[in-house]
Amino acid sequence: MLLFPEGSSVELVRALLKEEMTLVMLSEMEQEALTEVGNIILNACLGSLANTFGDELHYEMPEFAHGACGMILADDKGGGSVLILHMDFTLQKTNVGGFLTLMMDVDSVQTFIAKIEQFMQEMA
Amino acid sequence: MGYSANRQNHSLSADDQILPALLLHEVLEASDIGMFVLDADRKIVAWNHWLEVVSGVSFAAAAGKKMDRLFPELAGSRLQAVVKTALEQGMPGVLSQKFHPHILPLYKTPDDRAADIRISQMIKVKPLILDSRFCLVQVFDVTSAVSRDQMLREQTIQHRERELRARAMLSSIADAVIATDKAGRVEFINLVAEGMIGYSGDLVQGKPLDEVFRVYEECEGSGSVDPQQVYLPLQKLITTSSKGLMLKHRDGLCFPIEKSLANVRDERGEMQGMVIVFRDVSRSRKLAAQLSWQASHDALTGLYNRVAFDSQLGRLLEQASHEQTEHSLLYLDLDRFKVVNDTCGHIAGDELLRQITAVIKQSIRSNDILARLGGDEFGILLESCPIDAAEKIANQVRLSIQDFRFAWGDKHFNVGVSIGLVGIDHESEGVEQILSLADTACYAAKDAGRNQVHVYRPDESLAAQRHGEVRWVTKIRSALEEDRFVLYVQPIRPTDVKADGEEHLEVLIRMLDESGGLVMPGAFIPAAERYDLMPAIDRWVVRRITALIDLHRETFFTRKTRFFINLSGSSLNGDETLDCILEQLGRLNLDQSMLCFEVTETAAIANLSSAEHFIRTLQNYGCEFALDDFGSGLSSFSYLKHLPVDYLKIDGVFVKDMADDPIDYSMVEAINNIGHIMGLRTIAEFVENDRILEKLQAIGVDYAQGYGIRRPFPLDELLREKGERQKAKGGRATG
Repeated sequence: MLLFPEGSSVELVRALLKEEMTLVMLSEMEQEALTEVGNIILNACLGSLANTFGDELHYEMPEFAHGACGMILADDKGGGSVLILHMDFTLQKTNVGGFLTLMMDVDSVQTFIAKIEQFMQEMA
Repeated sequence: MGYSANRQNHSLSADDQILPALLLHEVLEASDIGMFVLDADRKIVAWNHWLEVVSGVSFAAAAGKKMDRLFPELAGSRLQAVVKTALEQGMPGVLSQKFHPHILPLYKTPDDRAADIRISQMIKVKPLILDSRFCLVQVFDVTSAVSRDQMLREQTIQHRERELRARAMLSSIADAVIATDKAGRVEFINLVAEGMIGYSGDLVQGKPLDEVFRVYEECEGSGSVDPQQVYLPLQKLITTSSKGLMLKHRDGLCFPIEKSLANVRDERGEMQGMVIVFRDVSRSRKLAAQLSWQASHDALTGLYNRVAFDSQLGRLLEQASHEQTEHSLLYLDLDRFKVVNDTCGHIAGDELLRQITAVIKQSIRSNDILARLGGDEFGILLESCPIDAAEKIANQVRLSIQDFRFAWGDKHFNVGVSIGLVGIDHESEGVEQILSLADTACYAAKDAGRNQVHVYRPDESLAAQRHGEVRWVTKIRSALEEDRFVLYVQPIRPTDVKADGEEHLEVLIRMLDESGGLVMPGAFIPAAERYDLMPAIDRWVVRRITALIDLHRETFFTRKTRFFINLSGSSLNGDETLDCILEQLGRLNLDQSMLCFEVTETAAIANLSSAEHFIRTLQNYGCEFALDDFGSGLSSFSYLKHLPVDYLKIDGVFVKDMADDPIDYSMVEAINNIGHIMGLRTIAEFVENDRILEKLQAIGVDYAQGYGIRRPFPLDELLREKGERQKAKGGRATG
């Protein structure tokens, strides 16, 4: 899950869609466009994680949601564990900050932790 | 259509084989979205019916081929990249319509294909993790969603524009506007409204209307609000009328407003909210108050005007008819106001009126009603004041005005006042009757010598009138009808005895009563002036003299006789006398220099412009003019410039004592000098003896008139004398 504060999102939307609009005005088409962008970012991040751990990560297609943080997180269907990565990314004109949030099921979390530990040992 | 052999060879686990492969195949084929499957080598292994239709490529043609072989344009596209990621890294991907509207050449109809109008598409790529890798590509037709989206966007833009325009309009109008939703919460508020309630729009947005728009009922006409009062709740606000509402500003200040309300209803007629329009009416209220003040007050003095005075008088009359109360009315007419107005100008006159107002106010009670009724006329209503007490007050007013000296520049004036007093009681008839009685009483005061109070008493007045002027009016009228006037003449002689030739005669009028007795002008002229009979008398004299000249043309021509005819002020004002004179002149074709008209200073001053017109008109016909009684007014010299006269008749008051009184002597000398400087000939009246004549000769006054020269004598006598002289001449000539 990619989380952007509303202000940043607006910036992002404007930068990407090159149209002056507010989040409420986003149509289905534009939400999809954002989903595409989110997907690209996710792919990039997780791809590099997977490379680091030398394993594959499997995940669902991201979906667009707009609302208060608590509400969106409460929507969490199963896992209960959340991995939050802060990220900054730069567009040509604006800096937009956001959070990459991974909701994982229990097994995944354990596997993930194991992977990290393994990675740390290798590093050591 | 169908699966590739590859797919068929792929063995599903036993548990998964719940649905027969055929059913899965049918589902794929029946699907309303495009679906195809690529194997690890990116070769097409499934290609559903939907795709066959819109791409024009059959499964048979597609099977086993890579996408860029089917559609070369896809080489190096994002779709290829996403497919690669899915197959190699097991990551899903999406290609939104927004960024990649028409990746695949898919067409709805052959026409679209011909015109290259592709289906708007959104593509999802999902890795299928089986024992070997596959990737499912779903193609969604979003054409209708895109057009719907576009329509919505356009409508939104239009709507926004309309709203912006509406807001701009509402912001630019002078009225305050607040719009609410159906629950009565503020949705919109314009700048004017913000200013009037004292809250900015951000602060009130979404608040209940009655919380920010605090309206109170005004305490009856007071322009204020009872501090105990709570503001009107919304429901009351909607139903209450617009009158007497006060709006409280955030800082506590209250001001009167007028409001109007409109409900906003949707297409189904359901209320969606309301719009309140209101405005600050303190200015217009002030204006209305000012207007009503102006309608009832005199702007110059701030006193009541005639209209207000009449209505107050009506009120007192009403009161007197019900209760046993007595009131009094004073009718004041200033005595020498005109002199001030005419010598120093209207500004001085206005100032005098203001000062007089203050003087009068000091002499009356504060609840007495003082009004300015006309130019220099005032009225005072003394409530609950019987006539005797009123007379005392009237005299106080008179005395204080008499003591008052009006200064203007270096000039000082004494003004007096003539007051008519009328009582108001249950016997009084009506407003008009009372005013007319008061007016008559005031005239009586003036007639009695000005600066007096005349009390109207019902019993006396009739008798007084019977014996007074009314009697004269009838007498004059009948004398005019019966031609019972006679003319006298008095010579005006050159002071230089050697001068000879012209004969100057002032024409004087006498009236004969019914029994043939002679009535001197002093007795009937005032009444004639009062009742506007002077013009008729003047015309009678003019006709008589012109007829006489016509009759004795030769005699008067030889003697170069010039008649000095007196004209009254009212003759100068109207056109009738002027027309009459012009008519006579035209008919008789006289040697026109035979007529000289005498006008008094006061008559000329009374209406300077018409006097000037009168004089200039007749001068064009060769008539001459003399200014009578010159020096008696205060303002003589300043007027002289405006009056194009030929003779100056020095007031007899100065002349008769000039032999003994050096001041009078100097006055005569001064008037004479000025007259000569202005190119006028001077005439001294009241020359009673030779000593005066000698002085006049010494000064150089041109003519003299008076008992010392010759007393007035009947015109007939003049004719007789002329006849005799003619006869004597004739006798000598013949004899």
